[in-house]
Amino acid sequence: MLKIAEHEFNSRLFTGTGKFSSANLMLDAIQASQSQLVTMAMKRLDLSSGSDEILLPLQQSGIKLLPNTSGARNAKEAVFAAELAREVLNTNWVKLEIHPDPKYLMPDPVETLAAAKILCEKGFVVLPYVHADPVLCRRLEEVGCAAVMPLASPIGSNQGLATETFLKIIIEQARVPVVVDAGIGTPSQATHAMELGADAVLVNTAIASSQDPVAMARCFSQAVETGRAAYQAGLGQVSVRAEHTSPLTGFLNE
Amino acid sequence: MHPTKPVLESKHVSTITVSINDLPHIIPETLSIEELLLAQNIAINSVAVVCNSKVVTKGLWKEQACVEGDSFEVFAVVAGG
Repeated sequence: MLKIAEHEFNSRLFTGTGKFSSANLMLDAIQASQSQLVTMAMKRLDLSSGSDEILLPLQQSGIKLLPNTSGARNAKEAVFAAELAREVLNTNWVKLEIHPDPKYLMPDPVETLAAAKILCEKGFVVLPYVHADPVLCRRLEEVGCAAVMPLASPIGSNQGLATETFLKIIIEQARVPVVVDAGIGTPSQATHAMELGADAVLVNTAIASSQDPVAMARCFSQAVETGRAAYQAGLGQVSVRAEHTSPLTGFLNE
Repeated sequence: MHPTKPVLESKHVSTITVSINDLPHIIPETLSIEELLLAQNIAINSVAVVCNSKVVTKGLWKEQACVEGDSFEVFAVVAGG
């Protein structure tokens, strides 16, 4: 069972709540995904349109809510966003994300490490979204992060495991759970991440932007389970040369 | 005859001006933060309030009164990845 900061999860699929065409579709997709943790964002309230109606049904569902700091451009803003989210959701969990670059949404490693240190000292359970940088992930672990969330490829790009080589190193070295986040575009890519030994994956766009998000959420749920089971079963060695699976002697010549 | 009405109102209720998310609002001077939020039809369970750049914890909303010139920022939880 996956455990992050003493909290146990039966499902290793985390989902985002963004980009769904309606709140009901989002709720149905989350239910189909069997996720027990979903991410949310903070935004200045538009007084003319009122508040979002998604919060109450999510709170009633019992799913753990993980607020993110998206929109923060530096450590100071991220700490502020985390404190706001704690006020609203009554949680000290936070997905720390600082990506000032609007084109590729690359996470800023310097600001992220600085914010992580402050937030950990303030008692937050910090899950930082970072580039697949093994050195940075170790540093984040050292300052007290409860997990690391390295990216597979740019947010929302559906490009899959572009960072596979580095994800493997992170997974090998990490003493906290590794949640592969961002860019996973297909269920097979989620399976692959889990086969590599990731502790969980976070998927949003691939589900929300599919033609049938509820069906796709179910596919991702199965994919993550399959990948985890395959990892636990122990994958065979990869070999350059052929290794015969049938006896090669005795049949024709003797 | 009719023109006396606004004068009477102004005698009974003193008002102050505060801003909420950069928009000015004229409100009675006795309002608490919670009353201010309710008057704006804001769902108080799903927002965080910042007053003059400082987070105001929920426990203080009932007792902290709005003051002339206060700058409030109200944040809500929304969908996100």
